[in-house]
Amino acid sequence: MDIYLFSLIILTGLALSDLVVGVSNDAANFLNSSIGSRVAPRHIIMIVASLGMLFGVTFSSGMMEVARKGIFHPQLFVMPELVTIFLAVMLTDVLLLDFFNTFGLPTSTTVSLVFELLGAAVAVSIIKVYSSGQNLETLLHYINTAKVLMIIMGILLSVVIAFVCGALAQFFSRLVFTFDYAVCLKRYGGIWGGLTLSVITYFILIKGAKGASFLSPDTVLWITTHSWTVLFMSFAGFAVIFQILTSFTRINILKPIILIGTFALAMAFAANDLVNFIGVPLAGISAYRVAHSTGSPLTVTMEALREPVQSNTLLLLLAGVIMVLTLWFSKKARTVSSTEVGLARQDEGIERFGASALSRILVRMVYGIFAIVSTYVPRAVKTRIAKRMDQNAYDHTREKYGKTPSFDLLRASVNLMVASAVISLGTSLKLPLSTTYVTFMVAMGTSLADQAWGRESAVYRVSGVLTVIGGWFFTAILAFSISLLFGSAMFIFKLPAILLLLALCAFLIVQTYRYHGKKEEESGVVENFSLKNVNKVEEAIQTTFQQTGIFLKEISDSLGSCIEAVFLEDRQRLKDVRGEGEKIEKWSNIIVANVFKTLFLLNKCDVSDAQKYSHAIRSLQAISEGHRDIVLRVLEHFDNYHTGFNTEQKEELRYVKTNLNRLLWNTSIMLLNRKKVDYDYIANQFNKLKEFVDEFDKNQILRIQSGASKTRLSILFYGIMDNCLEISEHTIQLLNIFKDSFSLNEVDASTKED
Amino acid sequence: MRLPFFNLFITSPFDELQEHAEKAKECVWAFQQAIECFAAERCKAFEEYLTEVVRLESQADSIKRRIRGHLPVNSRLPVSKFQLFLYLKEQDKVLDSVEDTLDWISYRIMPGIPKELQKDFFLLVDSVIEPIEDLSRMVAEAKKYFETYSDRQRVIVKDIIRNLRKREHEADRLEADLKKKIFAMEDDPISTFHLIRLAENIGSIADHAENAGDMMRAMIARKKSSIFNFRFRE
Repeated sequence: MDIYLFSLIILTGLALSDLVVGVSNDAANFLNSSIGSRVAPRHIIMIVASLGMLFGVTFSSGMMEVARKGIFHPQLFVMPELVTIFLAVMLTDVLLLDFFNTFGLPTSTTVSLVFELLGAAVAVSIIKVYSSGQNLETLLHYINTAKVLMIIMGILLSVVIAFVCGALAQFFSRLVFTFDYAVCLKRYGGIWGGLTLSVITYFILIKGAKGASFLSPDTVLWITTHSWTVLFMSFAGFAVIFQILTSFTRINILKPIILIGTFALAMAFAANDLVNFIGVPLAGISAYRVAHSTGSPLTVTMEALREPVQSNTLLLLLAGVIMVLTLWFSKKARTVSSTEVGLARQDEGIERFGASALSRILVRMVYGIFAIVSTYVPRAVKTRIAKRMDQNAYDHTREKYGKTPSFDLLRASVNLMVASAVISLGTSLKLPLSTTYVTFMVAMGTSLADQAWGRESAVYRVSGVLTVIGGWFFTAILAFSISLLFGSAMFIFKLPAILLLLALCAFLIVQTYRYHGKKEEESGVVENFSLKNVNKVEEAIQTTFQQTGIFLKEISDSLGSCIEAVFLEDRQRLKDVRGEGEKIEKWSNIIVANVFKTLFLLNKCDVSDAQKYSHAIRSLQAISEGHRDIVLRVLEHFDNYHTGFNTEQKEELRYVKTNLNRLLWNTSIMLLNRKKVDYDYIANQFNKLKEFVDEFDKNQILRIQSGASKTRLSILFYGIMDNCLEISEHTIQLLNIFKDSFSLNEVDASTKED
Repeated sequence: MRLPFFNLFITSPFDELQEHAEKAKECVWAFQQAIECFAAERCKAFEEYLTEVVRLESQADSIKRRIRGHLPVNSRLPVSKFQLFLYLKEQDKVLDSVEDTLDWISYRIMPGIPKELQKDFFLLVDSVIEPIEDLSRMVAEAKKYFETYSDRQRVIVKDIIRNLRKREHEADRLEADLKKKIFAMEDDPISTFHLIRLAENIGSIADHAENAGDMMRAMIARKKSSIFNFRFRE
């Protein structure tokens, strides 16, 4: 088999992988609004999106030009060079998109593809120019530089236009409908339905169905030239239908709007972005076919690729089926969606992104500007706006299909309407807007206008948005450089380089798969820890106890590992423990948040009952801080290459560790199983531990006096001992709270029996 | 050859082994309390502790049966099934010994432990419960080792095994001292027999924990590749 045929087989395999990773990333674009608002059960949303994708695939118009001639001029390349470029592009694309999916960051598949093509084409062109002794300036003849600049402009335009449009549209919609939109929807439902669906229909016609066989070129031309007529006619039609629906039936008109919007975006995605994933391999196959139809396949130039190629409908349908399967089963797709939905969430809660200096500056600056602007707005206007935008009307606890929605249906419909409008407008004005960028930035704009980014969450959300936007530029840089590197290696070293890079690709994918699995597991634990969906006091208390049990068990394991690592002076293990410590701190914060929720649920109960939980907060924080202090102290000590403990000290630390672990472990078992506390046993362990610590403190004084222990080591020793004692004291306190609660429940049960 | 990639498709039996070890760890408080209760001659709660241990032992037995019965026939395990079952057997014996000890006490609940021997008995109990507690940590660390095959992780497991041996030696020493003291007391033969057997039962807990550690040591031993075993001369 010749190397090029082998490369084509690899390209086909990579096309399948690219479909999977590509859909995993792009699914967030069309699922975001419906999943976030919980418009329907998950399977209904998925069925609608799948149907949209399958329709989109059948409407897909030809092959994407950019793969064949958009970035480089094919007439200047021969088949082996093009196959090398396409291989480098596909390998990079699979790796890059998989990397973004693993971290749950949405990015543009078009931008990545364009920059990969650019990188690989530049690599091959440079080598060609250099080996033929030409001037490097001739490189510009090979590359379509204008297209590249347009794409970069697209990123910037998408960010600004979509964000501003989203924010303004949401602000005015909320002003009209308020957070308690049911009443206003009865009144203006027809207009709203007409407006949103006319925009979405226009979007379907412009983006989705433009390549459909049932629309003749004349019809498409008529639609593009009579945009306002189409918009007005559909507005009038839909307005009448929706006004009838909202006036005479109990149908919530926002639901069909959101589902149709989801269908439209899914369809547009399949119709336009599908070619991002299979366009390059198909271009490779057509290059191979063209070359082999001539007498000299290795030297003939590829002018033929400039001609339009009609895609095989069966092939497109097969790709569509793979995309649908990925949509249903990909866990990474859910991770990407959860990033978008999490950043746009109306409620406060656990934030995925940490604060950064830039986000703090931005938030402070924006708050400052708002404060200044607000001084110029008349008081009456401010009061009126505040009344219309009163968030108290938003139902934070309402559960839909087993989960609490992240935002309401009105916001979801605005998201879909504005995204469709911006993309349609951009397409008709020939602006290179990315669907991903637009949908993401619209979602962020609407959440800003809805005051979802309050002072409790703004810095984290802004930091998240900056990370995602940074990722878009990073996509372009990474796509270009990796593809350049891969292209050069494959062009110079041929088959060995291809095999090596394939192995590297497989290895990295396996690694990211494992990493993602681990992260999923962790986030699953965090999700389980959250009391988001618990609304009953007893259930909340029980869950809090269970979580505290898991927390103590984790502290026990982590401290055990930490002190063992101290004995072995194992810095790497200490670093691992520090990593776990971050997780423990996160858990502690979640449990504390849950205790607050329990307190909130207990607001009608006895104050003294509620007070117990505030004590629990203090104890949890003290345990978490004690754990962190021990880990950081020992890590710093051994990072600075100070001496380790002597045998006597190690033996004493081991005693303390064993007793503390026993205390933590048994308490955790009791909290987890909610079984009757053998309080005496735990108290005995605590007393034993106290005695040990007192005795060991005295021993340490003797060691200091005899010069057997240096200052830093003594400080560390006392630090560990004190923290261990403090952790055990607070554990006992937690146990006391549990014990009281247990007897309280027993009393409750007996009262009920009476 | 060990290929980490294949680990993706293997269901690890170590999760269940750890669950089994944690049942043993869960017994510790009831065991310790039962001994203290027996010593203090206020054994009203003894039955409760015994019931708790029996309950946990029966749960551990279910886990053992699950491991034995549901280990996939064709899965690529990181260790041989033979070694795994031997390990499980030893780990299970730890729990059996705890139960046997309490059963032995229940046959002659009075007159308890003489005052002059109480401290030694408590020390012996203390020395055997640490190895029980270490078993679950050992399995957890071994699981991590079989996922990565890193030398660093192997050292951690070996360190725990070393500690198990140390505690077993300490328990042996305490058991021997205790036996000497019991015989020196020249009490009635039945009490002497009861206490001697009790000390032996308690000591056997550490023996089984150490045996489990040795089995684990065999499991984590580096397997030499046959290519390097080639010899020119027989």
